[in-house]
Amino acid sequence: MNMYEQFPSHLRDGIARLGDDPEFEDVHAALSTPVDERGLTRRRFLQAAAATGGATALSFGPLSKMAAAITPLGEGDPILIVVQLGGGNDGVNTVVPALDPAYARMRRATSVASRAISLGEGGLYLHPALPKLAARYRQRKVAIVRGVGNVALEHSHVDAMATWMAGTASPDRSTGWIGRLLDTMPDSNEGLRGVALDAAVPLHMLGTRCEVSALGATGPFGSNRSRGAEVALFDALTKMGAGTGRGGWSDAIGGVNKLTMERASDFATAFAGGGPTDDSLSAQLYRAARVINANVGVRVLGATLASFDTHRDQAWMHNHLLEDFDAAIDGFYRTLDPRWADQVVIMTFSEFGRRAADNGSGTDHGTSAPLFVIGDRVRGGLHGTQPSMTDLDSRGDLRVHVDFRTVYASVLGGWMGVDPKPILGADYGSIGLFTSRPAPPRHPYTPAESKFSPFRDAGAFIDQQYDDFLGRLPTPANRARWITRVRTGQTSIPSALREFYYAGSYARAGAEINRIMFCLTGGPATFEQLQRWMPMRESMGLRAVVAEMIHHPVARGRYTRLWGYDLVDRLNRHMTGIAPSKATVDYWFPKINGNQENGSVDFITAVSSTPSAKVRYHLEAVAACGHTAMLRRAPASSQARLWGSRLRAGESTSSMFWYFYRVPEYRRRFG
Amino acid sequence: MAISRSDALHLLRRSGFAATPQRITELAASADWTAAVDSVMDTSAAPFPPLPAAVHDPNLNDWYKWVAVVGWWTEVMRTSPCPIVDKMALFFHGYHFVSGRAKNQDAETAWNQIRLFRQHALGDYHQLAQAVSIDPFMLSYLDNGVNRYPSKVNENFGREILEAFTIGRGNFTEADVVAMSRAWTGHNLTQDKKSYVFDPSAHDDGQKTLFGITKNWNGPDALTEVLKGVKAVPASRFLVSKLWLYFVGTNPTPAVVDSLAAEFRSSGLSLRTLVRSIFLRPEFRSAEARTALVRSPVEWFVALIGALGIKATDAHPEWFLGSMGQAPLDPPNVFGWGRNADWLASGYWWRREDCAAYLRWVATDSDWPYQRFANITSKASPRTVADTMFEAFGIVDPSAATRKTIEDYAASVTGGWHGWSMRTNAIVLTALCPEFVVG
Repeated sequence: MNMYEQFPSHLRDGIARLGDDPEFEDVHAALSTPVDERGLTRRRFLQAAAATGGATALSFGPLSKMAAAITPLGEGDPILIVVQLGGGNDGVNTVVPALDPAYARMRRATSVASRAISLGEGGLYLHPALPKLAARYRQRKVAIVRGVGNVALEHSHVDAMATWMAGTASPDRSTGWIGRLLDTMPDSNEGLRGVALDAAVPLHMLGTRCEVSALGATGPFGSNRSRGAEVALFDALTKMGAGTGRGGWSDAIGGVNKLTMERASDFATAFAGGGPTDDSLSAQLYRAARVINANVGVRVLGATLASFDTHRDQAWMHNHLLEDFDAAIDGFYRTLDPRWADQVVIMTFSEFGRRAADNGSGTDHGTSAPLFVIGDRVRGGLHGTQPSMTDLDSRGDLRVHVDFRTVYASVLGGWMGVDPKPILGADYGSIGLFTSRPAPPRHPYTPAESKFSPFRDAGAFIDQQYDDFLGRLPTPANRARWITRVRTGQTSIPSALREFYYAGSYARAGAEINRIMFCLTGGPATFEQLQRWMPMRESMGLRAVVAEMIHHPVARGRYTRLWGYDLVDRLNRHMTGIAPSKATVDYWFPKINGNQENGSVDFITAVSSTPSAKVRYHLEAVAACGHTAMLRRAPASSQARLWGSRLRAGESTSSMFWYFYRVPEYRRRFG
Repeated sequence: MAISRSDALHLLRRSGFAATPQRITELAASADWTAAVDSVMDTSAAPFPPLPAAVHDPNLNDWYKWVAVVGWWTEVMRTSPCPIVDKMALFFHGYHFVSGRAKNQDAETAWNQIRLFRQHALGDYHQLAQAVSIDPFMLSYLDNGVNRYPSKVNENFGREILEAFTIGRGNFTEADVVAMSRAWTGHNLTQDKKSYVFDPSAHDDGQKTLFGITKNWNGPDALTEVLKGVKAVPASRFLVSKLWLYFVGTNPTPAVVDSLAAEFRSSGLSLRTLVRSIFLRPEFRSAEARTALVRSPVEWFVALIGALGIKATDAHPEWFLGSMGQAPLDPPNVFGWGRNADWLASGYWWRREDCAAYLRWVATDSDWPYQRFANITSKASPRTVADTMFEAFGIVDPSAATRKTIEDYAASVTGGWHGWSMRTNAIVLTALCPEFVVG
């Protein structure tokens, strides 16, 4: 029996190893269950690997829960984002009593009074790095709960943080309040209901029944479905191991392969196209918004911003951290699909505030601090009681006016709609932080169909893409498969368009024809020309197409008056951008002199497969093909060139197709 | 008379880690099963390449030393001609006489304990138990390094040596724990936690009653009593059951345990005798046993780099093993790592997939020296792809379903836009197929 017995067994040793004033990262690591350790260094040492039975949150019976599919959330389901400000955030400089003479006296080195932003009430100001949060506050979408803390007054990071994370009246530290919240949900073991947005699952998200995992910066293996070669692998892996007839463990391997791939593809839209992968809060909340938009049934998301332990040089560091915080909240709402906005609440916590008086450079561990509860349905304004800067405890710390578990109880009851008492182990009362809970569904939710406008449903969308890009209708099985993919969000509309493009004749023959057209005539082939030439290219070969192409008026004007060396030189420059080598001239000169037209056609056909010709106008050709396929007319040369340069600069082809999809001309095709 | 390739494969996987096609062929040529068993038990060529210099470098922090040790050990597992040595060392380290980095992060100290396990891998169990009891890494882990009479008697080691290491629950009383702990007082660590020291002034020389026998017990005598005296029967049964689970994977019948335990005792606690007898039991070769074990992350990782022919240090075990659930030198607790279902949590499995997905590039990309599977061109036939993979991964008897999954995949990409990726992606598929993971 030792003093760490109350922690999960796999975390005990790591916690026992922490020194007297450990860094936040070390404490957080010790209180987290590792999931993704790539690139971690010191953190690795503070984590005992998840133990047998210890990693309940990551484990599932291999044979029992395989089939659990995700249940998306409905309109009445609340979503909670818990943002940990690790290290002990200086509450006094976050919500600043800037006019208090005691503030000026006690904060000589760290005062932010001169630039702080007025809240317009209570004589309080926000830190100057929080202008967007101040604007949101003025819209009454931010509740500030003042004087929150832990009445036990723990000043060590590990004790205080574990107490906040566990969120219980008992000394038990084996689970956290969010984990126990998820445990109470009837569907808590049907898919991931809680996710950590960084690399490890923190203690507050550990339960005994719910599945919680960490997504990491790039998403789990299988979630990036933007590359076709990978998608083929993922789809094969989904089937790997089923039906081998080699016993229960072999079946279990098949099960876990399928489960991880399906889980990952649930997250595909959230990670498609990448995004920032650093450890900033902005990056984490950007991913949070995309996970919510993907609607994969996640109820609680955890994010962490570290380094608030500002004993020294606080002015610079605190400003830097709060800038990230301000940008993160703002960026979150910009990324979030507006239809989710009133279903989300963001709350912050930190293990303690800091000493009322600074130490000449920074601030030492303190007690109470304000925390933020942000959302469209919060009761915006000031809650709790502002701690006095003069009525301090014997250590010079601010008084605690609101027990942190009262805030938890208010969120659990007022927002999540559950009885807080069994989760927290006691009745902590409640402060009214919300104007209302998310509205229960008034009508059945129709997933994603609206995205298919101008099509009446996913099926019509798929049929049209088959017709436009492949020139045929889908088989019933393929049609069903595609409908599932786009309905469930496994494939977005832009990436579906891209896939159709690359599956059809446009990518194979059309792009080749168009790049040669660009070389010879300076512009793309018309819709009708492509309709004629693409099948011709596939059945009779490129030469037959080139033989027709050189009768284009521009080509005739360019080449019919040239002979011999001049013709070889000009054609080579137009096709490849460079002058012909001597060998090329020597070889082609007699052929072209012998028969100008046939020689030219042979030359163009041959040179078009050289590397330098293949890259010339390739992207312009892709753009022209996409435009022609979707809008049934070739783009103007200038427009194709514009798209070519955008693609060359790094814009994705799928975003180009998405653009074509949204232009009014496309919609007009379908009335 | 030779043995079948699938028999050879089974024996290679259980007695070691990687099973290369050459080694399967070699072993399959054995005269009979006994000869094959003796071949894998032959440790005369057991290598001990020097540790990487990084381990001794005072300027490097513990992380880099840990990386060096893990890279070294997994490379030895991959390349050793006598992998049974490291298979046993892994057993003692992670499943039996467990110590971890929790209280002593010095990589050299940790490594010295692994060396001890390797040295006694198939030797005298009693000698090994005595040696590991006063090993500095163990003295740190279970606090016997600070177990001092009279005021600081620490019962951690005294309890675990009975419960976790030798006889298990139900075979001792709380009074035995107290007596055992008193017997081990004074068997301490030096200040730097790198050496064992016996401090007579901290040793309790009084009378103690252990298993009903009252005398002035000293730690080593007490341990001898457990293994060779009044507790010899439960102690031998305890080890036999654990080794059976490790090597065979099925639940042993009491008759099997009794018979192996009796033989083990009469051999004077020879580990070689015991392990050889397990391999020779018909149950070891049963159909049930062949599918009873999911390869642990270490076993799977070493098998994978073995199949791909990749040096361990190029494969970065330190990136993957811990997050797949099995960090060497860092078992989760004194009872060691779990097995089978414990490796299949989705969080762990995603990391196996990541690991295979990383190694596919190391194996094929021109940035590395390996360039495997050049015969899988972008237009290779599905059958070629599957056969090449099964051969390289030592899968001698693939199921129809697994072959179909790989061939269907290959058929869907060969000759097409993504044909180039067949060579890399077939590696991932095969690394995660049941025939490679189970067994």
